[in-house]
Amino acid sequence: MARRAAIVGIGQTYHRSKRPDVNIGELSAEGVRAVLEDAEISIKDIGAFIVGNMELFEGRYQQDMWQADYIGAVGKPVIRVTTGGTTGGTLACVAFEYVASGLFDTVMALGFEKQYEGDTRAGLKTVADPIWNRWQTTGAIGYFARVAHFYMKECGAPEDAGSRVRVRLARHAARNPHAHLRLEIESVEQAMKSPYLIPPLRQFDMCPTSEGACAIIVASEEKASKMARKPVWAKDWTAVHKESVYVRGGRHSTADLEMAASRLFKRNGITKPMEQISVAEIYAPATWAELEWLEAYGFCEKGQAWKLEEKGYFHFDREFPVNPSGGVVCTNPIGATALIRVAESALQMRGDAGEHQITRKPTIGFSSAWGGSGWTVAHLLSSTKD
Amino acid sequence: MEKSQELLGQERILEVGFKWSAGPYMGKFLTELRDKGKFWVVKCPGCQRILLPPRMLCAACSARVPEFPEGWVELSGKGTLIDWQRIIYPQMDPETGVIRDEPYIHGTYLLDDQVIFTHYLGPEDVDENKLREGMKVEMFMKPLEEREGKVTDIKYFRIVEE
Repeated sequence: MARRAAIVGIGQTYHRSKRPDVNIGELSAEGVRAVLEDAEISIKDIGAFIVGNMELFEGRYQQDMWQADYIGAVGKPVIRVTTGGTTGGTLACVAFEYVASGLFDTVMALGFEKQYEGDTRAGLKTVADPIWNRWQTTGAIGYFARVAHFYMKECGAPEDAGSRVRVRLARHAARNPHAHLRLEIESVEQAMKSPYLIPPLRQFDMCPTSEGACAIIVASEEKASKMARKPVWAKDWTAVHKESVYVRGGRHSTADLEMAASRLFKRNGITKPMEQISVAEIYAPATWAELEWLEAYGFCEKGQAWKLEEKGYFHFDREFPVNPSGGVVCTNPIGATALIRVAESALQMRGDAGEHQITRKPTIGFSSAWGGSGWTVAHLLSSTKD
Repeated sequence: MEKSQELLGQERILEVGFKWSAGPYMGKFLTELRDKGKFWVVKCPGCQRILLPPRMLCAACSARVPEFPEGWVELSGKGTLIDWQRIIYPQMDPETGVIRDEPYIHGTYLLDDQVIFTHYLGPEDVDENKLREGMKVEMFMKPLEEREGKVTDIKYFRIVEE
């Protein structure tokens, strides 16, 4: 790596089902103000902007052009990144790469979504090949019902395994003022009363649609040393695509998740991930995916995640905190969602997560992004430079 | 902003037409299906993997796939049921924009040569309680005059009584 890059600013808006009080530019500006306030710098200090959201959700072409005025980017380089569900994860990667390359010293990555303005399900259906299999798509709900079904079938998980995850996420979200859904779901029995979408997937198992924005500021080592906040170091990151265009209905596979995490772990000498990594902010749009994917990433053996969940292992104040923010199941402004994973991981590394701060000593944070039923972006952040 | 300010928005429905090209590989698969009710896959000349739908390049080994019929393999349209999903909530049909009738069942089938394929499981009144993994299934085509050169020229897969 050419230069080290560090996150020196973290900001996000409050997330809601709808924000009719602001337009897209104004919502973006809220994210910008939040991150500048955190970093204690001025918009004049930002050398380049990386912005992103979902391609079709708001029905507006070239969103970067519309945003530039509002985010203080006029006259500066702006690039829009739109990689579906992984958008926010890719935004962070590009920001790290801009700084690591030596081209820029201080950059801002900004993701947002205003899902209520369009039709999320219609937008998502266009992911599938229009000739081969779009006719049979059932959107994210269909996909995650399959995940739940396979997880029960292959890992012997009971039908309440997803609900147990939901209770943990509700507990976490209640402690995170930025979480969108802050529902009081105190027992598995209560979560199990939620109606089915496609069995065994229940309404409570699935993420909401949110409106909100998230931003981070990434700086070079030299700049970071002069900043107000303790820098959180970008340790490593990667992106993995798998063959996916035609495969809905093929064998269910988590190959992309496995490959991304194992590559990062191997490159960074991580052999006991739950010991060496202190927190995971994973992009899992459904409770069941948290279980299946923790195993796919290699945090635990196949079939073990639901058992560890039963023991309470993944709570923010326990052995291996998973999604102490409440995760995607509680907050999902899609273009920002994966960047929130990075931002929350960074917040934990800095020790600034407040009521949802993990009780473990924060050393290395894992964050991930996932999209389109076929690809994964993942990052490792570190509280120390080494 | 005044507390009492009215929050304006504008609502509009956009209808946009598209015309997607199938290309020679997918196109051939679909015309064979439409005209003869035949189901073809192709074997990658590099890694020998079966590709469904037939396509120009193998993503695993980057080998160029020959055009029909060299290396193409006709499947029988028979197989076994390995999994299914009962769709019970209202879903927009991406072909029409109209909400589909539910419930309906999506099946996953293991065809010849270990090929996996998903399609409706029919007929509409199929009893989910009687479904078991490993049941024999067969492809059931729409009548010739209703076929359009689409994957949905297959009406559904149905259980073969043994």
